[in-house]
Amino acid sequence: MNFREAIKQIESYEFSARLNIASDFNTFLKIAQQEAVVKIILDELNDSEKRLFMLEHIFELANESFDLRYENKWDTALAIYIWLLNLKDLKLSRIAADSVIRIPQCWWANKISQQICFEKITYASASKPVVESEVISSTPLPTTNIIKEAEEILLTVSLVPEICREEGLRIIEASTRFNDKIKYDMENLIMPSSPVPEVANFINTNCALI
Amino acid sequence: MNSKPPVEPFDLPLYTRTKRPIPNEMRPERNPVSLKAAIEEWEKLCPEAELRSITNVYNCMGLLFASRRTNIYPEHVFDILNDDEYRKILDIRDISIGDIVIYRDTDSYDVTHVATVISKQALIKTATWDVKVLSKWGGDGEYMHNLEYVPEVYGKPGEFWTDRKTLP
Repeated sequence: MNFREAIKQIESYEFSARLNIASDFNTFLKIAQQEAVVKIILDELNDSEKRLFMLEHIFELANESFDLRYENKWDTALAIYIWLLNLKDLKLSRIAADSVIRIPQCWWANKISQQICFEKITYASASKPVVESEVISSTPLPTTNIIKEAEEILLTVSLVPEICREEGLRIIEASTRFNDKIKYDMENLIMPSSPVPEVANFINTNCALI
Repeated sequence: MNSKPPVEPFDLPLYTRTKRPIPNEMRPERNPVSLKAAIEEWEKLCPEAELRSITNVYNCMGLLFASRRTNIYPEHVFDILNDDEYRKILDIRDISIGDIVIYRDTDSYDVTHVATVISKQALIKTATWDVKVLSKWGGDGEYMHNLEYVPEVYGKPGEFWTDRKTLP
C-alpha cells in the first residue's frame, strides 16, 4: 500500500469506526498505533516533502465544508495526521494544531490540537506524552469576567449580573472546595472570612484566565 | 498561536453524592453514513455483540453515570464509585444485575471501559458463570455482549463494583 492509498484508508468511515470505540484519548491513540495504515504514513513522514504535503493536506481538510449538524467527518483523520506530524516535526504539528483547533464540531482533533497548542506536549507514544510545560489544573477555570465579578461577589452578591451569578458561584465553590483557608459555599452564600484581596489573589494565582 | 489554556469541560452540571463536580463533555452526533459504517464494521469484527442503540453522543461512562447524556472520561470512575458509596465485589459469584464491571488495559492497567451486568447464569457443566453486560463502545454502538467479549483494546474485565444496599 502506498502513501496515497494509506491516506484514503485513514479518511474512511471504517477506520473512524475502529478508532471511535475509544472513550479517552490514550485509548484512541493505542488503537491507532495498531493500525497498519498508520505505520505506513508514519514511515513516509520521515521524508520532509511528505511532511509538508501532510501539513497542506491538513489545511485542505480543515477548509472542507461539512454538515454542521454533525461531527466533522474528517475529525478522526485530522487527529491522526496531527499526531503523526507531532511525532516527526514539532513545528509543523503546532502550525497544524493551531489551524485545526478553530474548526467546529471536532472531537479527537480538537483534543490533540489543544494539548499541542497549550501544553506543548510531544507524543513519544500513545500513553506517555512528554509535557514540556506544567500540566493545567483539573479544577474548572473561570473566565476573566467571572474572576472580576467574583471579586465583587465577595463584597456583595447583588453586584453580580444574574446571568453570571450562578455560574460564577459554582466555579468559585468548585475551585475553593478543598482549600482549608478559603471556602465558598454556593448554597448558603457564606462569605469567606478572609479579606477580599487575599481571595482575589488566590483566584488569580490558581485559575488561568480564558 | 492561541495562548488560552484548555479547561476540563463541565458541559452538564453533574455531581457525585458528595457534590464533587464530574467533568463531562457533550459530543456532536456523527452523520448517519458514519454511524452505519460503524455498525457494519463491528458486525464484522464482533458479530456476537448485539446492538441496542447507535449514537455518538455519549460513551461508556456517560451510559452508566449520566443516563446517556454526555461523555465522562474513565479516569474519573473511582471518584464516582467512591463518592456514590459503591463497594468492590471480590468474587464473581457475588455479582448481580446492575453491578458495574471495570475493564483494564492488559499492559498499562489503565481503566479503558465500563459496563453494567444485565444477566448472570450458572453454567453447571463448566462450573462457571455466563455473564452478559450492556456497554457503550465509545462513540460507536451500545451493545449487549458476554462479559469477556469486547474489542481487544479494552483489555479484560478487571473488577466489579456494586451500589446494592441491604437492611442494616
